Amino acid sequence: MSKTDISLVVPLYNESENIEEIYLRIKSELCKLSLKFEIVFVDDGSVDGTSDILKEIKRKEPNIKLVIFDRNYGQTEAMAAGFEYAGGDIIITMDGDLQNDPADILPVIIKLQSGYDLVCGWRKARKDRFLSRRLPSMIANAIISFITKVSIHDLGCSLKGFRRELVENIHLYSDMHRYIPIIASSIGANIAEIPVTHRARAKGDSKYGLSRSWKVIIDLLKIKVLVDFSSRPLALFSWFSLPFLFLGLVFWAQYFLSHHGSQVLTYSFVLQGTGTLYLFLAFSLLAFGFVTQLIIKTGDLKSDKIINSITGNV
Amino acid sequence: MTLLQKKKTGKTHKYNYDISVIVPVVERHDDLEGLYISYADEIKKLTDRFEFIFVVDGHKDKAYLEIKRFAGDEPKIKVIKFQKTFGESIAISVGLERAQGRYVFTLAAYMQVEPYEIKKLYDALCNDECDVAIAKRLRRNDTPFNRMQSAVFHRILKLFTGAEFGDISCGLKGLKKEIVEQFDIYGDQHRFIPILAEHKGLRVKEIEVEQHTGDTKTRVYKLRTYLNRVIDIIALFFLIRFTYKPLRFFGLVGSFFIIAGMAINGYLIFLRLFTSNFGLTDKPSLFLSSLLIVIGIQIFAVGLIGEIIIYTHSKRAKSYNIKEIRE
Repeated sequence: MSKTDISLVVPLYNESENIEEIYLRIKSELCKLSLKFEIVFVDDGSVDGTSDILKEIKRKEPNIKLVIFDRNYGQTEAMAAGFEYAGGDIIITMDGDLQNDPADILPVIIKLQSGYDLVCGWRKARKDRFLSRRLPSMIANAIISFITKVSIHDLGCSLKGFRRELVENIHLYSDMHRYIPIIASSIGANIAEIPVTHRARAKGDSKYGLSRSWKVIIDLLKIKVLVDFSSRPLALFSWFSLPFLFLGLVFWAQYFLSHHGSQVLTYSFVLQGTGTLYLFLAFSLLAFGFVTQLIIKTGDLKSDKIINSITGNV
Repeated sequence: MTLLQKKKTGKTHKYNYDISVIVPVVERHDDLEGLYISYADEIKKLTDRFEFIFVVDGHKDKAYLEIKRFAGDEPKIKVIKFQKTFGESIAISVGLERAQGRYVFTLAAYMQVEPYEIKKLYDALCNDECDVAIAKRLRRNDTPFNRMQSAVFHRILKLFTGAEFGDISCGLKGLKKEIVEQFDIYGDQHRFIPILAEHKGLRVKEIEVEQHTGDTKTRVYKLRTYLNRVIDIIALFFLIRFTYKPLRFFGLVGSFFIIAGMAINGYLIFLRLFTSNFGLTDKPSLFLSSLLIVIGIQIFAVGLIGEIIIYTHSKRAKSYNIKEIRE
């Protein structure tokens, strides 16, 4: 079998009304190119017969791959599975609900071929309700790009193009798909952004709403820590423990200073105790750092290898 | 669910038997010969290609000798004896590993279920109605105390895991050998095979069976046993909900402590700075609120450690199951 040039990964969840149309439109776009392409449909445990329609299409079209989950897992898992079975040098992901316009696939490919590892879609003119969806998403994106120093306007856009080497080095789990650009940038990828059109959902219901804000905050914190410190947790915990070491010393200093002279404090316990608490916290955080450092030695992410493999192919 | 799942091998197995029966002899056991004879008689009606695997724990030397005695040269009986005491879960996972049958049944080492009921489970597996078949004892003749403790246990289980089962501690379970390799059983989790299986997207079916009359005596366990059950449920709860996102749990709990501590601390500092004659030295609540912050940060840090571990091992982590692939 000759090598596939482009793989399109499309996660689907209860999209039986849309598949036919999405397939035809993707196909007509990709046929404009003289490249060998395939479409990987990932059925995320649909219960409305999506997989039957997919099998029907598959019978007619050989350049389709179907990955069918045994139950609903979520978009991250669907994308991870799509990545695993996509064989193209360029891998493009898009929504299965026609919110992305297949006409935007070509610009993404062109951008990728001009030397980027990752091209993210940016829904410049979103067609969602402002207060309930667009505003929270704008705020979230602004905070995320401020904290992670990766300036992407629209993390939530599903239309993204990847170079194969990048996909092989990103391992997705538990809602991580939103943070792909951040992880990609942390392992040295070249990222570009292009404006794409966005359409309101035509048929079916929207499935992937904005999760509760604390989850986003926790996830953001987690990504920040993972990206900056997963290879050196001791550094993270050392930084983390410094302020408490300082606090502890301040309380003890205060205690000794208050004892100056012959004055006896009735509640000296408060200062001693609080000081000891913070010192204890500082040391236990350091201990955590050591333990984590030991544990990740047995892990299998070697960051230097990743950077080499990407820069070597640009 | 296993965190680091081995990649599924695509090879087709050749099964030496139709049925493998695993009997862990760990704690309570009765007349093992009688158990073997009555179940073997029923299984013979289904198929002639079956094996019995007795897994005998370290301290059960007498039972081991007894099995050796009645097994004689019978090739259908296999005995595995542990050097040390390892417990029921290890016994079952060793048995599952060694089983060569297409369908594997686990059995309690005493009469729990009427032997002829094994046919119902076998049929359900054969007809591909499910991947895991578990027996549910109809407790018509059971004592009220037994029914009560079983009901309480399953209620707690449902509360934590959402799994609705009626009799998960029944020893009689049947599963297809092909799915066995998807499990990593540890702790006392053999009990939760159906829940883990369901979580993996396998089809689990509960089948009502007649309880054996010998099983209807009131059972009171040691306190340790009850505590272990509760701990197992909590472990299972984490395994299912938070394996891949520990910070979602620890971060939330930790944040509560930190926020509470910060609030009290902030109030004290506010008073210290903006009112005259307010010293912190005689305020034990300073100590308390600092303690809250310390606890909160520790819990939070544990979550972070979890996240780092999972991230650095994520190459091997696979959090989904594929039913079908067409390329």
